[in-house]
Amino acid sequence: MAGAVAGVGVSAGRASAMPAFLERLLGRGGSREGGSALPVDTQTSYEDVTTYNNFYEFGLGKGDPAKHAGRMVTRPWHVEVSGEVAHPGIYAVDDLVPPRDVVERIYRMRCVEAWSMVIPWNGVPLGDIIRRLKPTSKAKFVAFETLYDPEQMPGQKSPVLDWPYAEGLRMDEAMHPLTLISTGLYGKDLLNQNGAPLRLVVPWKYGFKNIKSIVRMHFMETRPETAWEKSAPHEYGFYANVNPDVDHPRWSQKREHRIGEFGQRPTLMFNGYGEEVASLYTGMDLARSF
Amino acid sequence: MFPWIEAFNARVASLSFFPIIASIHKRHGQKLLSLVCLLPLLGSVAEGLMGQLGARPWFRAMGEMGEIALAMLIACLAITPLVQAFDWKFLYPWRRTFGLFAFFYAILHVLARAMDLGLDLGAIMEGMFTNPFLLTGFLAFLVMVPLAVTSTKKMMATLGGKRWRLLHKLTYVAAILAIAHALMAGKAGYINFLPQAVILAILLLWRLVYPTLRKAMQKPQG
Repeated sequence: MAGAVAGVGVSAGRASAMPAFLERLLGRGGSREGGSALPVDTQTSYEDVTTYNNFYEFGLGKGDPAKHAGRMVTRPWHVEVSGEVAHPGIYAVDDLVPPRDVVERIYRMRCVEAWSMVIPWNGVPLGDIIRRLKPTSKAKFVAFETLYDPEQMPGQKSPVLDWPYAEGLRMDEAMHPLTLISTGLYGKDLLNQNGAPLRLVVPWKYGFKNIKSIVRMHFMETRPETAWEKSAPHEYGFYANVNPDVDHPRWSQKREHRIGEFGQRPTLMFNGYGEEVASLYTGMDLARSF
Repeated sequence: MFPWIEAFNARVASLSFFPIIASIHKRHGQKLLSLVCLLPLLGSVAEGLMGQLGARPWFRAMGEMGEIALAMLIACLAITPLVQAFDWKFLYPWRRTFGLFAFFYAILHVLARAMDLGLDLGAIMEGMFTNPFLLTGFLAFLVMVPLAVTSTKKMMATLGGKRWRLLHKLTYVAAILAIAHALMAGKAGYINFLPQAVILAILLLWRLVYPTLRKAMQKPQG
């Protein structure tokens, strides 16, 4: 699978005669141009992708990560691989995610807070990484952990979440060809606010599944507990598949605000990747396993 | 209420420039306070004109206006306890100003939300009566309408002091609904508005405790 694997009709941002502040307030408009039934996906600007972030380790405000993440040291960086796996150990980033294997993937990213972006990621399919590590037959899930270091991540001094940030995937989700370990975006190395030096990207799930600045991968037989699930289990589930039919208890998930546009657009089942991933969840009640 | 406060107030009143301040406050106090209350709006408008409201400008503006509305409501509810505790009667007229600005910012909060949702009526109304987060906000806004409408001296006279005061106890209801609404906002929930919730709780508790407190303080003096 190459470049635009996701089947996203992407058009590059076009020049506009509007003053910048008006374009900000009223959007680039014409999201339904071309008479297509579905709005066109335009790549979100590099500026927005790198300044509008949720990375609570650096503060709760969307601008906080860009302001405060600079102090995090990302080289050298090691990832501990443990659990039900033939090749456990401590891996340097470049050994785990070889730069020569990096591909580009342009994915929609839908935050659980009902906003979304289109981001050209650079990374390596997680499946390729996992195959080299050789999980045992007992490995049914893989758990991930973010760095825990309150000195570098001042947000960890406040008890918003049970640090370190933790996420997990079922093994078939982790092996799915769409699932990516990203080390860059827009052809540049990831900035710290985007989860440098390596982060997960699962495009059919809400953004909070995409754990940043990973230091640990643990293969296990039972389902791992995730940070958001621990903090509010009735609001954030383990699967966290994008689903317009299952609302968050406090807000609707039917629509989303695509950054750069005015108003809302409909949210798509599995964030528009249903053709590729719906079969992973056959027979499951997605309203209960949300 | 406390002897040291009396001494402090007397000391301030004896300062040489006090009469000037007092006269400015008497003649222009309301206008000056209104100008101060407009500053947050001017700040947000300036941010918007400079493109500094971030990737979701209307959503950010909605949050800012809502936060200011809540702050104004808290300021409004802080006046009576401040007068009771420190005997600063000059603060009384500020109550109406803060209350009206709370309503003003609540209107801006609602308008910014409408813009954020692209003026799509379906999206705006969705869950308004069923989702506790939206419902508390909607009710807080609704409760403030009669308060704003009856804020004039004329309406006070029409209603009569007793009924007017009873009606304006709805301010407590508006504040409780507004803080409940705020605590339900955001992905992580309550954490963002904890300080406001604590201050509001103190201001409301004060009203329960004050009558007893005053009696206890007055006893020794016979």
